[in-house]
Amino acid sequence: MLTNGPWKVNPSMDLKNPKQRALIAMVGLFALRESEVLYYNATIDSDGNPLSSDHEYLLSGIVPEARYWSYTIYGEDDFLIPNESKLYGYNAETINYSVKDSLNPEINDRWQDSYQIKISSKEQAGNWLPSGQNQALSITLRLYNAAPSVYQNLSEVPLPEIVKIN
Amino acid sequence: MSKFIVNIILFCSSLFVGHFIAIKYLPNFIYSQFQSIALSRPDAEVNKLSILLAPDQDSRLVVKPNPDFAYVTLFYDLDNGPISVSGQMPDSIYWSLALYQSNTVNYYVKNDLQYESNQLDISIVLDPDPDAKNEQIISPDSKGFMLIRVLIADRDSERQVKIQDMLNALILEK
Repeated sequence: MLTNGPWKVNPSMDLKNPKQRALIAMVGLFALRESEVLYYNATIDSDGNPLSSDHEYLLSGIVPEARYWSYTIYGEDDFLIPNESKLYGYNAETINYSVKDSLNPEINDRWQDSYQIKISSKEQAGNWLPSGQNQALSITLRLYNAAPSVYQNLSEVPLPEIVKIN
Repeated sequence: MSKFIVNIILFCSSLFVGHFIAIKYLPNFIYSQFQSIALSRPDAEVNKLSILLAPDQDSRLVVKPNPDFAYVTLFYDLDNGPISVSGQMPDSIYWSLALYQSNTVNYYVKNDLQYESNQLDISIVLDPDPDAKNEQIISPDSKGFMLIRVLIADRDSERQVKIQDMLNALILEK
């Protein structure tokens, strides 16, 4: 397992390895090979503390280099978190990208590719993922047909920070 | 050697063997549990296509479901001959067809770009037919699982209905 900030990724979904096959059957039955999809998982924030619905977080990132990508949030039972809005994640098609801050243009030279997602149990404006109540959380970033540069640099490719804000 | 040491060695050996067996067969056990629950649903049976539109909070069959996809599933049994699946796939940003053994090993996966067309025409076989005009996929065992993923991306209900109609039109031949 490789680490990239708060994210962990399995660089080789070798299902001929019995231990790995058992692990994947438990945490991601019918996962695809890494050549098709890269699964980055986060169970901690960027300070290394476990993600919890008791807190609010800001996930800030830029568009990953992949044909298609998505973020999905899960409860501690690894299922989608029940909520009235039926919001479970964002993807390349549904996310609202950041608006350029004309007063601080130097902040991010890839502003048109950047986005933020608020993770909170209370409704938020913009990209919001409801986090439920009293439970540990995990976030999965799926990269479908990622660019070769991503595979060559799994530990250092730019991935979002997950910062506790409350 | 004292009886105590012999007991310790026996205990450790049985732990090791038990651990090995558990790791080796856990995927088969999880798969069989998944299969029995999935096939207990109304209209579900072996060698029949089932369609699941984007999972939501009520979907609790497989952990970490991806809510962006519609799924076509098939538990296949080739004891009575090959299985063929054909039809027009929806015009999606991404779709793929994956095949799994009953020990969960993903022995085949191909996406829309690799198919080069939205016309799906494959057969799952134990022995390939040299005269076949479609793609013959050799299954390592007579039983397994097919999973087609079709990206929906947005939750537009009109688009979901359109995708569902197209998936319902897929043809399975035994």
